[in-house]
Amino acid sequence: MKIQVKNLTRQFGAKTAVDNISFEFSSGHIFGFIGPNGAGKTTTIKIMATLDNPTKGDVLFDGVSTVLYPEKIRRIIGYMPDELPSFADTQVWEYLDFYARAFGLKGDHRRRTLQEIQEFTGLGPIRDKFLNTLSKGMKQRVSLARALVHNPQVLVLDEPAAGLDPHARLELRELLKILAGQGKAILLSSHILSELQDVCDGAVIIEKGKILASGVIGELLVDAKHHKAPKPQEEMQQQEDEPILMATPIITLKIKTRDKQDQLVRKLLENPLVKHVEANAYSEVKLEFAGLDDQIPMLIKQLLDDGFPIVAFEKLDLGLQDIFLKITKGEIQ
Amino acid sequence: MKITSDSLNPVLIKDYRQHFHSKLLPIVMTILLGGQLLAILITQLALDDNNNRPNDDTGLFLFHIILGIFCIAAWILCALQPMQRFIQERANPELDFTRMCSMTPRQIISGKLSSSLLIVLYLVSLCLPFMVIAYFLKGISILDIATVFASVLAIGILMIQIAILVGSTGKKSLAFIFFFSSIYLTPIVISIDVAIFSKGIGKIGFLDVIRVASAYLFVMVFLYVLNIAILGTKYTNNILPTRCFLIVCAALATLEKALSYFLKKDFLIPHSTLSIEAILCFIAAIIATIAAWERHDSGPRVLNEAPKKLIPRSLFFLISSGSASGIALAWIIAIIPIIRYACETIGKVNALPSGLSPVIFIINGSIFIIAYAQFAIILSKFIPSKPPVLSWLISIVVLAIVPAVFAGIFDITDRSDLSKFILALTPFQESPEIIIALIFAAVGAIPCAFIVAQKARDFLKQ
Repeated sequence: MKIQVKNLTRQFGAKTAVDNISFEFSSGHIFGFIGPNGAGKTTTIKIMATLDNPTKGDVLFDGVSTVLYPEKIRRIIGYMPDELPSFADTQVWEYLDFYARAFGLKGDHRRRTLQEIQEFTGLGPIRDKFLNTLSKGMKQRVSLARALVHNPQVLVLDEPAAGLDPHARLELRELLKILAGQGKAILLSSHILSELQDVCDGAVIIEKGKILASGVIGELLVDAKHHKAPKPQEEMQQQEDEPILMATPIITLKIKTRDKQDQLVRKLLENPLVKHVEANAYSEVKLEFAGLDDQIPMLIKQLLDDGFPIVAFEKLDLGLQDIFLKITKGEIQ
Repeated sequence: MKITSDSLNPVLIKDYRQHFHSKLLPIVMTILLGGQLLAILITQLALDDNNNRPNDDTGLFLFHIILGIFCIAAWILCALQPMQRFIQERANPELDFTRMCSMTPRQIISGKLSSSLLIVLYLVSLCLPFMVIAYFLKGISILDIATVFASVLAIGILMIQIAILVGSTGKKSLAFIFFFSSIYLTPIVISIDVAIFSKGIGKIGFLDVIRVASAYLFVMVFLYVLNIAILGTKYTNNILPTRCFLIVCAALATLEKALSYFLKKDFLIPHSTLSIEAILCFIAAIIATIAAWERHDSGPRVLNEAPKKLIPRSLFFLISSGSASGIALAWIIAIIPIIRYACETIGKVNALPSGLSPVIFIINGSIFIIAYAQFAIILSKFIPSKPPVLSWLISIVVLAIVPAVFAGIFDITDRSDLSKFILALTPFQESPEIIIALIFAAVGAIPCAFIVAQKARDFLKQ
């Protein structure tokens, strides 16, 4: 299944929450939807899940419009919001059973499906608990189970890892990989980038309602390594046929010093190849070096010769978090 | 058993399970049973004082106490709790089950209604043994018990329908209005109902019963279709069932009038006191008011569903969601009755019945209501970011309620000349003048006609 977000715009009065965004993803892949709080992620996801209507544009699921056929879309999409109702009078199995019935699952098929989903999401031991007594992690599991109850082809998950402990995050990651392996198309929104890096095949980076970058993770990493400026969507389309100019790669280095941290920062900034320097509270200095790998030892030697008591240095690999930081000024965790 | 549960409405099953997990159910049941036992005890003590000889009203007294306790229990469990639960379920759009599953609004409302009715039946079964005791204590017949109980149930079901309607809006403010208004109104309505049925049951004719039942059915079905409209997905043709229902009612009323004219006999509608013009204007006023609560555009989905040929598409426009089509339909229904009535009455002051006859009041009031709806539609064009219902409220408050309040103040201060002047543009005129109402409506109709024409053109050219 191919999911196409086409020129989507959502305005709330004078405020534009989502501004003419377009991207697409397909079955068997996990696609990250990255942006700081208030970037327009949840608004986009709500439109995809038929919970809201766009001011302009549409989301097509194999060509079927969410605006024109929301009922059809509800049957093929499983939406997991970032929260779960806290009803004091509903048990976990009753909640899932209601949605199974509401999607028309009957008899043994319903019972079997619920059994499988409870096993898959690890809800068996808590099936008789009331919703208001569940921990955040358990609620997320119930929410995922609810989204899976009608075996949707597309899963849209809004901040699924928020509030989960590290162990639960690992489990969720594994569950998502299994689901993608089953051929489901998964869109995963998060502002915790480390969560997405290991699990996503591609990503869309959004800020203030506009897409700043999109593509498979590898391409995004290469783009960020070469420190390309963020490309607005229209420009990306216009420049498709233009030759790509190779920029000098940016290397991120971390240097630990025993003291003289401030002097070290000043010294580094004097070097024309050093683009950005950042000091932290652990006597460390992080810098962006626009030189070649061979030039790194020379830089370190120069610093030692200048009398800086350097105790360690490290070349850092770029992650999704770095990509995000390079192309946005977003607030990330 | 498995097959039975599959054929039941999922919302009914869900609500029923929630009822039995809720702490409220055992509390209310305890109050219901405890209250009834206490009533029996008091009756027994009264009988002891009277050497175990029940007087003529002992059974009636016990019956009224049981009925009162039943009404309170039913009000809490079948109206307030489902309303509060529905509001809670719809409060967060991200968790709103009505938007997250493939159930239709009709299925959801039916499930909500049937779960409340099931609890009503459950409560009735808890009251039955005590009713039997009331019957054996004399003072009330089986027919009286059945009739009063049936009529109280009818009011109860109406209350449940309203409660679910309020619940489906998801608005807590409306829930508070329902809560407080029902506290004061329900006992009054039930008291009147009990008084009519317990004292004058023999005097009510069969036709009157049918008329009351028809009016009741109209209100129930109207609330039901309105509820479906509220639950409908945005940009669907969610107002279609409501418009169709009101058009069918208008058609049936006209048919009934034609039949009674040819057969020279009144059937359901007493035409001598309530003319067909009044009924059609009333229906038009309802359509116009609902239109004022709607957005201007029909939406892409409705345009996509509309027939492609011009005439069917034009007719479809009239029953499609959107304020422009609503106000157009209201005028189409009301225009002939208004002209006919105006031709009969304007200039013939002596022909008007003295005082406020229902016909004058309804026609005059309906024209004003259509006019207020028009002003609301125009106003909402200038404040597109606000919900249309706000524009309607502003129109009603500014054009009707504020003048009525000022008129009341002037009346108190013996300035009735001023109050007459202030009320001239409201349905509360001292002597209704249809020509003033028509001029008032025409003032709003002219700019509104531009909106209707623009929307109709957009709809038809697609």
